[in-house]
Amino acid sequence: MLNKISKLKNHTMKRFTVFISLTLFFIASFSQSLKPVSPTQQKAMITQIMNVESTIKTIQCNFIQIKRLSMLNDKMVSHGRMIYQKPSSLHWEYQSPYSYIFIINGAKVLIKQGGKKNSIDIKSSRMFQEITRIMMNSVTGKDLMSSSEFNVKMYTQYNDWVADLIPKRHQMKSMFSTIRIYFDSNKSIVSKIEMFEKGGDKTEIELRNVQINAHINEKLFNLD
Amino acid sequence: MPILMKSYLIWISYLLFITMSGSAQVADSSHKIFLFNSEGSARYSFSIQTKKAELTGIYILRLTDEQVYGGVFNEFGIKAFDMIFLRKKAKVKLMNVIGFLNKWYIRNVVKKDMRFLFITDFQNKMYKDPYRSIEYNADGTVILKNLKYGLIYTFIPLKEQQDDKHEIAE
Repeated sequence: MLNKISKLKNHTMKRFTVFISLTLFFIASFSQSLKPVSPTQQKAMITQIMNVESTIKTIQCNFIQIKRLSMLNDKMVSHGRMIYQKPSSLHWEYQSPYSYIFIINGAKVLIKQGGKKNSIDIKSSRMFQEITRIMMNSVTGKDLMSSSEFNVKMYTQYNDWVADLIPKRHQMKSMFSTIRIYFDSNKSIVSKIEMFEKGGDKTEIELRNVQINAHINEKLFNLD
Repeated sequence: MPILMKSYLIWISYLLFITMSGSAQVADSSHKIFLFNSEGSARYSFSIQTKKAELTGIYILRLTDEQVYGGVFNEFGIKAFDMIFLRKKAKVKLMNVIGFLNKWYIRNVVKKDMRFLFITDFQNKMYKDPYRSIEYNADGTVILKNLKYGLIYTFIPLKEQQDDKHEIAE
């Protein structure tokens, strides 16, 4: 008899534990998911982001980039720093595990890799035109206003605002299915960018230690 | 004293065993070219130099019993192509090739060059080809040359990233 009661107790306990685990799992999943906003809310969010963007003269930060390869079930993590100055100067530097400097200075792209330096006219390469556009407009959030380039849908997630950008143009579509930009809702500035590819790969770039309008050394936009 | 000696020998044997197991995990030495780690992964800084231009990026390889998977992307993470080398058939398949490389004549050359490289690696001897050659340095750098089309593929090993698993939440 005692044995039976003990078995029953164990069974009930097990079911209770499973129930609690499932409940916690669903609560966690629900709270992490993206919540769509109304068109009016979306307009207000974009206006606020653009208002903040208009006050930005410079941005500097560190970043962590994670490239997830679906076919290899592997990831590549890179670390670096980014410096941006209006209207069109960008210093994007990978420091680990490889060294690579990519500078946009007006109409020129300057690249330094393994001691080699290159200067490329942005207009001469479609690929660089697209990369330049993505990088410059994503870090500031300007992409949200490019209605000819993207369909934009805004969401909320915890304290973040999230914008899904679906490319409209062929060149961009061939590279990405969606670009997702996360904004810190308190500061209305970009905190993370995710780029989804058709083949299932994803690149995440998380911006850290973001400093707005701090002084920047102009030499960073040259390779000399 | 003999008991002490015995336990000392056991202790030394144990230490040697641990050390040898540890070093076996560092790299799979059965490959002449690629430096696969204990998880069957290899990472390289990669470039293709043509007569007119140079493409740079990262090449990640994953080894399984049947295949070698490869992913090539530029420094910003934009995919150039994925690749599978079928070990038994000695055949290369390219997938998810980026637009400007996605031309049949480019795919054919890249496939044949990669096939030459992997066959050389797995057969552990230089596969004879009048148009292609491979150089490898002590530091792990591999240079594949396609003399017919003037292409130079360079693979420079990247340092293992020990801290990533702790730093990046899945």
